[in-house]
Amino acid sequence: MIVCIPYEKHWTLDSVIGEEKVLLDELAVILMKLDPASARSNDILSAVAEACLNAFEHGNRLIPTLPVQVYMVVDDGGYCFRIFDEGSGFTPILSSIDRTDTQQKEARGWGLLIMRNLADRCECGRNDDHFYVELQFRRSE
Amino acid sequence: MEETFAANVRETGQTVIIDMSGDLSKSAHEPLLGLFNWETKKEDTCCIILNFSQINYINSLGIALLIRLTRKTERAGYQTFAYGISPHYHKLFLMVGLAEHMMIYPDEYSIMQRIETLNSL
Repeated sequence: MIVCIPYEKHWTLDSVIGEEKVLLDELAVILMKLDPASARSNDILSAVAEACLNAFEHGNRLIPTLPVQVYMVVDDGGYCFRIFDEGSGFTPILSSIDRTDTQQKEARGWGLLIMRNLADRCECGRNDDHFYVELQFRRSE
Repeated sequence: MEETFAANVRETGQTVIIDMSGDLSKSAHEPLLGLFNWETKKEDTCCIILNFSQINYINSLGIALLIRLTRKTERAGYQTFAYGISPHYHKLFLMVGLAEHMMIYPDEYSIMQRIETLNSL
């Protein structure tokens, strides 16, 4: 696989928990080729995983035939990921460990918290009737 | 692809050690929750040690599971320790407050030393 800047990649995932690992395995290789000395690769992998999990579970309601589309664009400035699902979006909820919510709500809250803390920028939006989460990471020097 | 989660229990002295492997995600919930009686303190057992050294992947679903577990162990009166956690996942544990509910050490030996010290006080 030849990887050089600028670089773009697209993945289509079934909405099944565990499918995000297919993307992560490929993304880890790409990150290693683009920025082998980067200390942020794990941050990128975890944040993208959480965005995918949110899309599977809360956007596409774990209906396997509904796809999650992931677009990555890399330039000298950094990495930009957009994760699209078929849902209507969400109101961001930040969980704390003292909440007595159900396990499902806790997992959702942690995922958003993780994305926001690991990414340099985390935004939501809509595009052609699809909801997306956008994650940006600056590239290390 | 997702690596199957597995866990087994080792008992030594007053300690129960949970050795885990694979991916700590949604599929780990049933095997881990059903592995051990987390809610009732076992006689002559003071501490639970979670061994993460063979865990390759943790996501928010796995973190939610760990939060449930540490709540149960706290209510039961156990002290919970953990080792084998990578710096990246240690960072995530700190982020969600999980590190306040389990004492994280570099390895099993250092935890055992700590438990021995606590018991001698």
